[in-house]
Amino acid sequence: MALQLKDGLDVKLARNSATGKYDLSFSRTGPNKGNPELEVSRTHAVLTSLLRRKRGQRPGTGFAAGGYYFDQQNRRGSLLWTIAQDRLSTPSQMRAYAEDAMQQLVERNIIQSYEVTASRTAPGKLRADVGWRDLAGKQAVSV
Amino acid sequence: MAVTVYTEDQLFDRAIGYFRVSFPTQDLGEDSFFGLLARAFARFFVLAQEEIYQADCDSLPAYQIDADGNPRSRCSTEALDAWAFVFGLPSGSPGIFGRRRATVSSGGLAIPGVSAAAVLLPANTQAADPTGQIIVKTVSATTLNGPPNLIPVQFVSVTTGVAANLPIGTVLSWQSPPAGLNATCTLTSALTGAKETETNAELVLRILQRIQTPPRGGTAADYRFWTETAVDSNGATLAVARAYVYPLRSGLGTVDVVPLYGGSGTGRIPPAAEITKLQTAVDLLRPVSVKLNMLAAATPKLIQIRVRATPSDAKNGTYGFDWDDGGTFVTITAHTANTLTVAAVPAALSAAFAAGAKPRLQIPLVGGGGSELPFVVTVSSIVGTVITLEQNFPATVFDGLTYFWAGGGVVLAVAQRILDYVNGLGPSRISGTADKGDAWEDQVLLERLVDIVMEAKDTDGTKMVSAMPGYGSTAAQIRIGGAAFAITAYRPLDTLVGAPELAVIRSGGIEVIR
Repeated sequence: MALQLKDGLDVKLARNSATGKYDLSFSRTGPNKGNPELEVSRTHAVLTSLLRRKRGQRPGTGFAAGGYYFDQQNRRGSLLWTIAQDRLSTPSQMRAYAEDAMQQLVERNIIQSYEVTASRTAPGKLRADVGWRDLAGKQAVSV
Repeated sequence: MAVTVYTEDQLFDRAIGYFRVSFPTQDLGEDSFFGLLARAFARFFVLAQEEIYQADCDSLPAYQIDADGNPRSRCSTEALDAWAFVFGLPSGSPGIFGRRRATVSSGGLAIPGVSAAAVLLPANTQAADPTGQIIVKTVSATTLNGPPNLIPVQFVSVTTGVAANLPIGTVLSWQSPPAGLNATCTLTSALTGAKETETNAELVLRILQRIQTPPRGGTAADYRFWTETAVDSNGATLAVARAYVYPLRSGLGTVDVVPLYGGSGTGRIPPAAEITKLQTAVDLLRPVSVKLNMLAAATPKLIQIRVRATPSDAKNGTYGFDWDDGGTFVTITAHTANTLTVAAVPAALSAAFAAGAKPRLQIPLVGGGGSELPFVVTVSSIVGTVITLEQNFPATVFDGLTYFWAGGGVVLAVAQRILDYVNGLGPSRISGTADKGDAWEDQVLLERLVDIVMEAKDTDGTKMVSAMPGYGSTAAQIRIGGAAFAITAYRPLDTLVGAPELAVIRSGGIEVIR
C-alpha cells in the first residue's frame, strides 16, 4: 500500500508507556496499512526541537559538544542534554532550555504558543511538561 | 576530472526536491520527519560521493598544480605507495619497492679525547648531539692511541631525517663510554646525506617519470633512472637526487652522466669517491657497448645575486626594511666575534636604534665559507663607530671588504627563494648534447629572478614584495666570478673538456636590498 499523504503534515508518534519513549505509529488497517500514520499535531517537531542537541558544554567536560550538521549557525535544538547536575536552580534552568527550544518553533510558524513547567520529583530526578497549541489554536497533547 | 562532483548544497537541493515531489503535502522543515530524512539522505550521498571522488583520485597517479605553484598528488598516500610498488620503484632499501624512507647521515669524523692509552672504542658505540634527540654511532671498532689520541673515528647517524645532518663543531656526548674515553667529542667532519621520507609530491613525480619513460635497453632516461637509484656494493643507496644525461657528449658510443645530490651549492656535487661508486653501479647495468662517463659537475665560477625589492606594507610592515640605507652599503673596517667597526655609522641606523626599533643588518659574508644567504642580525648596541650584534658572525668577515645593507623581514624570505631556484638548476646544456627528452633549466635568468622576487609569498599567501625598483636596469644583477655586478644572465659553460659547469652561488652570495 502507498503512504497516504492527505492525513497530515508529519508522522504520528506514539509513546510506549513501558519505556516512556516515542516511536513511529504504523497503520494496521485501511489503505495506509503498514505505513507510518500522519497527523498535524507537530509532536515530531516538538520532540525533535527538545531532544536535538544544541551546541553547548556539559559542566565539567571543558569542551563544547553537540550541534546539528545542517544548523551551521547553532540556532536549533535545546541545551537540555547539558543538564548533568541537580542543583537548586536546575528546574528553572531546565524550563528555560525547554522554552528556548519551543520558542524556535513559534518563530518558525510551526506552533502558535507553548507552556513549559519543570519540577523536581525526587533528588536527582526532574520532570518537564511541555504543552503547545498548533497554528489553528488547537490544544495539542502535552509531552 | 573523470567523475562529476556535486557540491553539498547541490546534493541537499536535489534530496529536498525529490522529497517535495514524493511527499507534496508534508512538512519538509528541519524538525519534521521527512525533512530530517531528506537531510540524512543528502549527507549520506555527500559522504558516499567523497569516497567515489577519492577512488577517482586514486585511479591514476596524477598530480595537480596548486595555487602556490607546487605540484600536489591527487592520490592518497596509501594509493601512491601501492602505485610505487606496482611499478617497482626502488625505495632505497635493497629488494624493497615503494616510497623512499628517511635516511641516515654519514661521513662524520671526530677525534675523541682519552685519558688512558689504547682505549678500545667498539663499533656501534652511541653518542648524542647537544639536544639529545639525534643519536649517532661509530662505524667500526677503533683502538685509540695517546693520550692525546690522534686517531679519527667515523660516525653514521642512527636517527633518520635531515635533522641527522650535523655540522662540523657539533659536540657529541657518549652514551656509554668505555673507561678512559672523555665524555664528549667534537665533529671535525660533518654528518651529511640524511634525507626525509619522500613526500607524496616527490613520489608521484617519480612514478610518472617511471611510467612515461619506461625502462628500455639504455635510453637516456634509463641512465637517469639507473643513476638515481644506484646503490653501493653493500646495497646502500648512493642518494643521487637528480642525474643529468648527455648522450654522445664524449663521442660515439659514450654517455656522460652528471649526478647531483639535493642540498645546496657545491654540496650538491658528489665527491670523487662517490662518483666512482656511481660509475661502478651503473657500469653493471649499462649496455656493454657503451662507454659511461660519470662526471662531477664543474664550478669554475661562483656567482653572486643582488636584487632590489620594495617590501609590501602588509601586516603592519612586517616585511619592511628596518632602516633606510639609502641604497649604499657600509664597509666593515674591523670586527670581533660579535662587533663590527665602520668609518661612520649611518645616521638612519643610529636613529632607528635610538628609537628602540631593534634595527637589523644584512651582512653578505661573501666567501666567508658559510651559507649563501645573507647574515641578518639585530643590532644590540651602537657606541661610536662600533656596532655590537646580538649574535656572533657565523662565517669569516674580511675587514675592508665585507659590507652590510639594511636588514628587514623580506630579506631572508626572498633570499631563500632565490637560493632554492639556483639549487634547482641542472648543469650546462650549452654543448647541445644534453638529453632532449629531459628539459632541465641550467641558466640563472634575470627574468626568473624578477619573477621569484615579485611572487614571494608568506605561508599564508600574503605577497611580501610590492615592486622592484630599477626594473629593467638594476632590479636584478648577477656577479660572475670576480667581475662586477652586471645586468646579465649567467649561463654555465661546457667546453666538452671535463664536466659541464653548474651554477652555484658563492657563500654570502645573495643580497636583497631596497
